[in-house]
Amino acid sequence: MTKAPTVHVPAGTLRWGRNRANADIAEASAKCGHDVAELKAWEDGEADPPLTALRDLAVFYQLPLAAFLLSTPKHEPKPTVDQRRLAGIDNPTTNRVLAVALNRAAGLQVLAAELQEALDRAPFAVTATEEVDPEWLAAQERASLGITVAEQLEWDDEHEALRNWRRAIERRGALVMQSSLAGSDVRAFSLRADPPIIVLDRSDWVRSRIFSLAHELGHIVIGGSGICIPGATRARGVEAWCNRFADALLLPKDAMNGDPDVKRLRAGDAVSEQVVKRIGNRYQVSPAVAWYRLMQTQVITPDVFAAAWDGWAVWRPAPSEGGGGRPTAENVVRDYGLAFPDLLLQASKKGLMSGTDVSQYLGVSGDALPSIEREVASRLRR
Amino acid sequence: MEDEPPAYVVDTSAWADLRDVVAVPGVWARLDGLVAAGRLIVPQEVVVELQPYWHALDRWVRDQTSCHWPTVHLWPMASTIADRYPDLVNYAKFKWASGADPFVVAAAIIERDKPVLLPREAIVVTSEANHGPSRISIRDASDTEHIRCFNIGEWFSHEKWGV
Repeated sequence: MTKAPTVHVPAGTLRWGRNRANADIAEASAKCGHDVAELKAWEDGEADPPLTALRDLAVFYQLPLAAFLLSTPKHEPKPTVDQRRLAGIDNPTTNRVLAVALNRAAGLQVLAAELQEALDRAPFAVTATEEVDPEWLAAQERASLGITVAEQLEWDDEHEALRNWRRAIERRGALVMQSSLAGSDVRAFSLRADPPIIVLDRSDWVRSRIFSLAHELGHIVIGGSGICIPGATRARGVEAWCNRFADALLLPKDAMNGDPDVKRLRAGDAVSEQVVKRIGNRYQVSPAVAWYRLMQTQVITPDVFAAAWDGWAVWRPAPSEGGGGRPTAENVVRDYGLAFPDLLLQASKKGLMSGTDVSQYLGVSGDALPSIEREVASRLRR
Repeated sequence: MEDEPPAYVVDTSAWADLRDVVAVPGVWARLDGLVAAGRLIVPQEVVVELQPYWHALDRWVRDQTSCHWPTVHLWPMASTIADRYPDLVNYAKFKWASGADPFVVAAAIIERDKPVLLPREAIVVTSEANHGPSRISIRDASDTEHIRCFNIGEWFSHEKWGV
């Protein structure tokens, strides 16, 4: 049997790649079909790995093969998140899923910053600090996002709601992406810098994602970042501030005061599960948000709130049947939003990058670019 | 060196742009001619990056195995190039992108420096611009290594293909 051709990888480079992906050595060795001792020898530069194993490791670590050429890993910006600021909630563990998502988002953020500067795009405005009343700031932000309660009440379903919130926040100057964070205990994160970037857990319930989006907007409008479990019941400090901001953004006090169900509750009707769900459905928010707002606007007492909160906090509808495969262009818009693909396409038109670059950054075949361009243009016109 | 016709090391972005041009009468024959003359070099990593594509041109590139330069042979020089120009390695591109740029520049240097009686120039063909946003591009690295870089138009014009 001929021996598979090997190449030399400088000592430390493979270990750096594995650590960057937060991958366990046993898991990595299983992925490339070699034992732990062999992988350790490659990491130490004491033996040369076969090219086929390197390709497997590159895929697992989500790096290009060329990353293993470098004797010193390239400097890359660390995601600007201080995990110790996860005030009040148990620190999420940075597992491989989360590490990979953070690395990817940070890399795309640097690219977006360079392109925005080259294209002379306006920077994202940080408007306040966490000393500001979140209720007040949410009202200001809602006005600048341009989403009225009347419009919100017209939305057909939660998918339309997510699309509209997301688009408004992109217009505000942030990038909003989605990635599967299943397997981590995190539901969303945001990275400050310009442009700020918000990443939602694609596998989360749509209305939970809407809340996560509003929560992460809270982080970035005060110039912060977070790796979050939005809505966590034991949130303190800035996390609690962002929860309050998100609640107020999605369900403003005025909307609560004018809501027919809330009026009936204030008049003495008993609060029921149906009423809470109906309020949630009306505004395309989760029952947990509706329940919180009933307490915050003093429709129910803290004791009544506390008695049912644990149930509402984790309430999810029964999972629906999974849809069929989607066209690539729709997947790109789902995962990257409209602002980021549009930025790449504009940069390509100005000669700042090639079409191949655009497709490789979006992780799609170049054949899909015309349909992506059409999809993005048509949605931007809406 | 002037008399010996150059070899061309063609990167992924140039193949992508060539898809729009290859239908022009005469282009296939000219590409076949370059292969027959041993003047076309395609690093294996470029072939890897073209794997997802099924345009006739991509299939043709895959079939020209005599032009493919194995990654294992290019690896040591590509390592030197990557260390010299780390911007050629882009961590944000990993899906369907192996990071062929250091291998393209490495292939051009190896071809140019081949110890033969009649050395020939090796020219990189790319659609990338100079000075990508705040980054060293394949063109910048090639310039520094005294390797000429052509886009498709310049390539065709240099070969007097006039399409």
